[in-house]
Formats: sequence, C-alpha cells, structure tokens
Amino acid sequence: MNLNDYRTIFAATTLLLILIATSPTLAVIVHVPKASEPFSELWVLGANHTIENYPYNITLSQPTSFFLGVGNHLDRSAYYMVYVKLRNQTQPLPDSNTTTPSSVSPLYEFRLFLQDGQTWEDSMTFAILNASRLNNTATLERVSINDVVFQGNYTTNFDVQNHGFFYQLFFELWLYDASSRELQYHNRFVSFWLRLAR
Amino acid sequence: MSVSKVCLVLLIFLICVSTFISAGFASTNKEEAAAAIKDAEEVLVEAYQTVSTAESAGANVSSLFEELDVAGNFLAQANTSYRIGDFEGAQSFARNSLQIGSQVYIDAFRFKSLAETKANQYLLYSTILSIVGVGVVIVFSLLGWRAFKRYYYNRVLKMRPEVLLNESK
Repeated sequence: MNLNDYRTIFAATTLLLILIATSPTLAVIVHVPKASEPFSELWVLGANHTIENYPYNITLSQPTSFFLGVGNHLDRSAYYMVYVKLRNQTQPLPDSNTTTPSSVSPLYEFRLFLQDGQTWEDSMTFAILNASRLNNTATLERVSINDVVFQGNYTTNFDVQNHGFFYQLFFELWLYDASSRELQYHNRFVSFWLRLAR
Repeated sequence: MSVSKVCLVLLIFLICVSTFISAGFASTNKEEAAAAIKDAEEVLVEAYQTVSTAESAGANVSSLFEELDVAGNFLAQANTSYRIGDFEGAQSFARNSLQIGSQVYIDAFRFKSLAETKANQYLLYSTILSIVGVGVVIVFSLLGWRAFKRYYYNRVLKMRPEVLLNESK
C-alpha cells in the first residue's frame, strides 16, 4: 500500500467517526418513514372468540353475542368511530368503489382513540324484542344492542330461495381526518346475516 | 250551556294546552341535547388534536388516550340516547364527555409544553455534543495523519536496496 491508499483509509475513517458523532442530532432532525403500508383493522368474531359460530338463526328475546374489534396500524394515533347498522336485503351496503357509507341510519356507535399499534375489542349483544309477521313480510319493531332498546320498523320480505327472513348487521369504520376536521368513512366494513326463525 | 259541557270544553282546552307545552318542552330538550352533543364533539376533536401534537413532540400520552376513550364513550352514548329520543340522557352523557374532554385538552397542553422543552433541551445538548465530537474527530485525525505520515516516511527512508541473488545473474 502506498501513501495515497493510507490517505483514503484515513479520510473514510474520519468521515465514519463524524457520522457517529453527529448521529444523536441527526436522529432528531431526520425522520425516516416506515417501509410498511399503514392500515386499519376491523373485525367481528363469534361468541367463542373465533371466526366461526357467528350469530345466524335468531329467535325472539334470545340475545346473541359476538365480538367487535379495531386495530390501528397507521403509524400515528387515530380517532375512530364504528357505526352499527341493520339492513334488509334491499337496502344498500357501503360502496367500496366510491368510498361511500351505507345510507342506512346507524343504531349504535363506538368512538375510540387508539395509539399506533394499539387494538380495541369489546363484546356485543343483539336481541330482537318484538317482531311481527304479515303474509310474506316480517317487521322488527323493537331490537336491542348492548341493552339499549331501539324502536322502529325494520321490514324485510320472505326470501324464497334461502327460505327465511334475513337481516344483515354491519359495522362501518370511520376515521377522523385532520385536514377536513371531520370523521370520514374509512372504506372498511364487516357484517353477518341474521335469519329470523319462525 | 250546562256545567258538564263547560267542564268538558275546559278539559279539552287543558289537554290541548298541556300537549302544546309538553311538545314545546320536548322540542327544547331536543335542541338542547343536539347543542350539547355538538359542543362535546368540538371539544373532543380539539382535545384529540392537542394530544396528537403532544405525542408528536415526544410526550408519553397513554394516560391522555385512556381519558379520551372515556370521553369518546360518553359521546357515543349521548348520540345513541339522542337517536332513541332520550334527550335528557343524551344531554347528561354529552356534559360528561365535555367535562372530560376539556380536562384532557388542558392536560395535553401541559404535556405538550413539557415535551417541547425537553425536546429543545435534548436538541441543544446533542448539537453541542455533536459539534465537540466532530471537532475532536477532525483534530485527532489531522494529528494522527501527520504522525502516521512521519512514521511512513521514516520507514521508507530507513529502507535499503537489496540485491536478490536471482537478479544478479
């Protein structure tokens, strides 16, 4: 090795030591974004806390339970809202293509504040307290979610193909957007069907 | 007009008046509940944004998030009560949410200013340390290089030409 080679080694070592000496300050000033894609989770689990045994056949005054959960992986804290909605087979679901929530009015709601990496889960109960049937139409007059009673006329027609009166309980995830200063539909929803037993 | 007829007319009149008054009260309750929910919502959003800023400044805001969750739960209950027509319940839940949200907002400001002071101090100390560190590295590198160069030249000058046996042939 000649002197020029040694000079290069010295210069490289000096630069490396300078970088080490400035690293605490650089760590404060320079923020390296995470490589992973930020996302939010929304899930519903059956009564046994598994992805089976979801409520399906539902009878009058017989409460059915399940679990609802939300996970924040957005690399920042988040303010979420979950709307609980009930629809029949003809009412619209949220539209994933246009990021539009369902026009069905919400019954129940949750508001959550989660830090990055945090998850939330809670058990829920749903019950039909009053229902009536006239020919091929069933009407839920009183339902309850987590012991809160809702009165209304949730009507559905008899499904000949699947042989029953069907309702869908679905959960929309909304996220607070700081720029518009309002909660916006986060384009995520989960659901399960309920068959009203005769 | 007989007494019974007068009584009947009076009764109908009283029923009408009481219905009108109770409807008026219900409408006032509804408006008050809606206003209380709106206020609670605004305070909660402000509190959340301040907590987020404090978090970005490096503060440990776990306890504030727990409080926000409680306030959010009250607000959700207020909205649900409002939907089922329980306006008094809605107002009560909204008031609870507003109270907790306001406290979180105040605490978040305190957390934020503490975190910013800490962050500024850290930045100052780390900058001073970095400057001193860089200075030391440069000085020692230059001195080291000069010493090494001297050693290198001395070594080269002390070298003697050697004749190998193979080359002499």
